[in-house]
Amino acid sequence: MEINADTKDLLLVISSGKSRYAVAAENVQEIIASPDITALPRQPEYLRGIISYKGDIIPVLSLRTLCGSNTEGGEAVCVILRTDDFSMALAADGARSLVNDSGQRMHADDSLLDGGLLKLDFVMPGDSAILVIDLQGTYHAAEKNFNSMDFGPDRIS
Amino acid sequence: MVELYQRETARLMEEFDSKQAAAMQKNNLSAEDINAFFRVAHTIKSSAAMMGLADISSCTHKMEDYLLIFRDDSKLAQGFESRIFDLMYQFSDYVENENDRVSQEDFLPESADQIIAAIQAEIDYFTGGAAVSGSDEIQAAEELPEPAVQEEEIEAEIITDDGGDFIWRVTMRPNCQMENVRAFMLVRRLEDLCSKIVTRPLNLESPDAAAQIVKEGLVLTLCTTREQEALQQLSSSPYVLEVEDISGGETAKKPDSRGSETADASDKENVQSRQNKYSMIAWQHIMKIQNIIGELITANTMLGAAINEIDGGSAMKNEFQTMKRLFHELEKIVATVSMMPVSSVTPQYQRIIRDIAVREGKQIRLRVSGGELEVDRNILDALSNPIIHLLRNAADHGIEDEDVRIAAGKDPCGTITLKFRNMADSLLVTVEDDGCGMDPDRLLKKAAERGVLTKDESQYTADEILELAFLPGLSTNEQTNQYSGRGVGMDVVQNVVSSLGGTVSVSSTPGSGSSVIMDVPVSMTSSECIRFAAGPYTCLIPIQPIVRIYSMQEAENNMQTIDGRMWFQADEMLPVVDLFAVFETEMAENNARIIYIKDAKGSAALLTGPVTGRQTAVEKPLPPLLGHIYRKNTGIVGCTITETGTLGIMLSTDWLIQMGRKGKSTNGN
Repeated sequence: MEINADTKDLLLVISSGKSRYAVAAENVQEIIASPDITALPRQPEYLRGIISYKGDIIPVLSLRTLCGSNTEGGEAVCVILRTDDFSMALAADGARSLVNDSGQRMHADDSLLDGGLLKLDFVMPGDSAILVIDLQGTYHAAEKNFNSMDFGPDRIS
Repeated sequence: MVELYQRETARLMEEFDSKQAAAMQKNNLSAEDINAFFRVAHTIKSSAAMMGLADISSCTHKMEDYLLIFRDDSKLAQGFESRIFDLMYQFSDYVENENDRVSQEDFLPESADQIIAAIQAEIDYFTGGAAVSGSDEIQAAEELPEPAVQEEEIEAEIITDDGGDFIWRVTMRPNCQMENVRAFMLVRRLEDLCSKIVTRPLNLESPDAAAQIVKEGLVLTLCTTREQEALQQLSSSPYVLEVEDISGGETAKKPDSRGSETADASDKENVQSRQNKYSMIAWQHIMKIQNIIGELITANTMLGAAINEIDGGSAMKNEFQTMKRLFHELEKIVATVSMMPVSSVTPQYQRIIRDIAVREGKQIRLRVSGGELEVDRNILDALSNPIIHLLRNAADHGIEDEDVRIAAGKDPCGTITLKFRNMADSLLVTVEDDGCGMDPDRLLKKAAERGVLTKDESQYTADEILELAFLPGLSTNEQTNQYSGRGVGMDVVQNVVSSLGGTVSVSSTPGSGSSVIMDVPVSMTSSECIRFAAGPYTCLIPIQPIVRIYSMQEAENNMQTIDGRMWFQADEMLPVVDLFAVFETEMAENNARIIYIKDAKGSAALLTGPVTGRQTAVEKPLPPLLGHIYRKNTGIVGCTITETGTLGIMLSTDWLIQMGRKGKSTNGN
């Protein structure tokens, strides 16, 4: 599904197990069902692998691992996200709905989550709160994690 | 129209900067240099006037006045070179900044009053306030873009009378618009080839000139002994439909005149010609074409695999092979178009070093070698920030203050060398200085403070300590200056080079200086690769360095295990680089292979899974998220789409050879 409508002030709600998260719809390029993800050697658990999307190679992060969920499931969709600085995809169990972004956000404490790499804001579009994924924060946390990975001594045999 | 002006001005300023950098390197301004600066200022003045850019036109006019002081007697500049360069840098900053913005929708010209005042102050300094011979009053802004009648005096050098050797009528392409501007640019291109040029219409800046050119063509009367080159220059313009010799000679139709004369031009002129043609093509179009060709080759590879599965498809296979050959020819042509001389980017580096030297009160010279090499623009662009960072580090922290250098018995003027060299398929860029060198104790201490050491301090070798400089946050540069704050540290140098599939190495001797070498592949095009498995991963390496592929049965007689490590007897004993161990995956017992690779940098024996085929691979970079630490520990330089449409990972043969070498040294065989 390609996102073509005017997406300003909208949030796309995605799910991981029973949890619901949202991403700014204006960053969503496309939602792909059952993508062919290529795993990489020695990748961290939160990275599902890479995919080729319109000629570019982009990393796919596992929403379930990022948010520290223990549930089993297929993570059957890939949400392709693009900002001015980077592209990435989030593997999730499903894409649910579009909701209005009230615009009033509050940063969520990292300690509320086990994963640590998922950076979140709270938003109140209606009566209930939604956790909105801070894409910049999450990407840079993953980047920092990647650059501090300990591979141990060189092993050739 | 704006785009044309912007590109041409950018090219002219590139020429201006380049000549200034060369003059700075020899610390001398010759009459030829002054004339070249004058020509640039004059051309920009005229085209800016036609565009209605009064400030640019006024300031370039004032710069002409200034250059006139030295034009007749360049000796007047002797001893004042630094002062003159300072002013020229202010001038080029202003013009280039304005030119960068001119195409923006909300463009509002920045007043040239300040730069004009600065130039006037220098004119007063050199003339004692006397009027400059041949200068004119600055045109009032409201008079522009009226043609500058007074410029005929300046033009007199190239336009004298109607008596010429050749008379050509140039017909512009229909609807190319701004015919007089394009005619002006054409004439400028011919200036170096002709002793005299007369145009009809005579004044190309006249508002009526465009209409006259449309109606009657541009008639050029030329005095030249290089008519073939002049013809080629005209014919190569995308806006020229036809060049007709109306002095009795033949009609030179544009497409035919091109190829036959190209061979006669000297190499230097070929480069210049290509630069000129290059400047007419928007770079983003070339990038798009390159990407599309990459996609086409990938799609063609997949198509080939599908054809191979069809019985009796030999006719299709022949057509497929033809297509493959044509795609590769196209790829090579586009790769050539995207090459540019290294010298086109080096003037900015001279400027940076000079600015730091002035600011820090140091004497520093920058020596550049290899400027004649032609390199893919993508690579030059990508390396720009790392080079700037390394130069800045060398100038700021490498080169000592003058008194310190004298006390150490060194030349008071420090030397930074920027070298570009071609090595097989690599471009080596070296930044070295004869400064104080890196302090290993300080690096180690800083790394310990930041908690990034992975073993005891005493266990670090000298090379390992220097490599610490590439860790994030460990750049030795702590002072802020006008170049700081770009977010480029030594770790980013490493990341950029790594993302290009290259490597960085550093060497340093305390008291003598440092050297950083960036080694990057020169080609970003496709390569023939073999494809093999390593556990669940599909891997590719280029075919070129592969000497032989052994099955395990074949390899067994050449293998032995020493202290738990496998060795393979090739031309020499090589430790086996076990990709299953490197990738931490399981090896299938019966399908393993030994791939023996060898190139100029060394050799290695790789233990892999089965070889699954060969293919043309177009390398795509790994996502930036996977930084250099990951690449450095896995040897993965990029990925490609395989024949089956899935992604395969491309491994660096340099890295594999390096791993083999490490294994060898640790086992002391």
